[in-house]
Amino acid sequence: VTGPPGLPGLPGVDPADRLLAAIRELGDGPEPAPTDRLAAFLAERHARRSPPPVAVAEPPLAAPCVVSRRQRVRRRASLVSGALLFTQATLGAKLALAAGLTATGVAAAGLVGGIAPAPHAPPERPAPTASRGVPAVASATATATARPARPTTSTSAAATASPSPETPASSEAGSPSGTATSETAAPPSVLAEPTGVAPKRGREKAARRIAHEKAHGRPGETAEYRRERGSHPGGRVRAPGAESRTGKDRDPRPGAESPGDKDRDPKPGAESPGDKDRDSKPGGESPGGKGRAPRADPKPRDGG
Amino acid sequence: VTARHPDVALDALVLDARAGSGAAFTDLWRRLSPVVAGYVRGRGVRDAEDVTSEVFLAAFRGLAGFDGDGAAFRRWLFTIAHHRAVDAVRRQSRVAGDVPLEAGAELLDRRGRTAHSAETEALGRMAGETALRLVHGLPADQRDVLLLRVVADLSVEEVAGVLERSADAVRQLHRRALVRLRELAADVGTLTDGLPAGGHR
Repeated sequence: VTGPPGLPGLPGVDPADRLLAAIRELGDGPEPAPTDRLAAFLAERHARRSPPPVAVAEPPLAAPCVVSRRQRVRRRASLVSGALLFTQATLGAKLALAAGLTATGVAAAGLVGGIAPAPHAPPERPAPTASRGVPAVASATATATARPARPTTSTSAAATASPSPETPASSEAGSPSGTATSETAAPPSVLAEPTGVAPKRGREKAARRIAHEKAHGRPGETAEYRRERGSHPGGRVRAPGAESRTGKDRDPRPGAESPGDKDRDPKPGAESPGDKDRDSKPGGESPGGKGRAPRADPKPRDGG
Repeated sequence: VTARHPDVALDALVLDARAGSGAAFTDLWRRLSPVVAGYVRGRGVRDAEDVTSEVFLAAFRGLAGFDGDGAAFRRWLFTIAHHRAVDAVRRQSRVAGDVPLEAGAELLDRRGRTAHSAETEALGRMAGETALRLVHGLPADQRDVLLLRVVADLSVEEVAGVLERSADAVRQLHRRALVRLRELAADVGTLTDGLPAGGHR
């Protein structure tokens, strides 16, 4: 077979194969001339800074354990703190058993809560305001914070960091700052000092002190001051002659006139000057409810 | 059909081009543009160079969203070339009405420039023009399969992907194209009788 004319090839080769070889050579021509657009594109690409060639990612030989220095420090600190907590809990439980404290006392002392007693802390610390529902530690700290505002002069013992058990009332003596205690008190987790010892005796003493104050008044208080303060021992201090904002500390006796109630109409239902801004509607914001958001009635009550 | 182009270096070229290397773009053009131009020419496109440039321009601009190796890039490039060639043939058929033989003449011109002797040049021109005439004598689908299999050196599956047909359909078309090519090769004497031997530019 010599093949068809016009298709050069070797003799003995299938003409169809030679034809296929000729077709294949269609793609073996020279490089065509690029158009202007393509030439501009290639020139632009060449003008750019050529990045380094992309390296083929090789699988790692072994799983690397790369730990930074910060991670190592964190891990070490975590281990140390965990060991300390365990030791504190164990020691706290042993101490509690040895001291015969109850579970409540141990919990209040912070022995099992991870709060270790400070080495300089006194063995006992009274909780003067525990009966008001304020946490003992927080109230003690907050009381210490509010001490400089006391007007009385009998706070020399109370100004110390560790009040003696003999004068528990002196820390509150002349202190009308029950409200100030709750206002200036920060959360216990922030300001609470690790006092550590269960204030069981302090509670009893505080209860006795409160009972004594109710019966005889606080030490150093004058009768006039008690009258100004009204029935609330922790009421807000007002200057003599100041208006009552809430009207609660008015003398309950009918006809009695307090220095701040000079303008008050004794008739029931009369509006006092201090009650002008009181919202009498249900849901209205009262001056005492500062933290409460005003309730907005979503649906108008048209009665229909 | 065996692979004529080992794609060992083509993978690296595609990776470098994806990374923005201008030299890689140029190398890709130099390496693949003759094959694409041959396929476009075999499809009957007159201005095969312009269409080839458009094909590469589209491929280079879309290379950032391309993910694959050198073989995948070849398949993707010929997919673009196929669509561009179809569009170009439609445009020129609306203008002239028939597929001319200027593409073959252009190929013969370029082949003649690289020929080393007058005899080789003449033989090459004759072979190229004859091959083009025979290919143009095939039905369009058989021609596409034949060109993609022979010129572009794609596998049956790759051709099926480019033409959006099944692999069995591509095999059937390829077989029919070879049978038809044998029949045309038997009559090639009558086809080449009217052409001047080596005098056509």
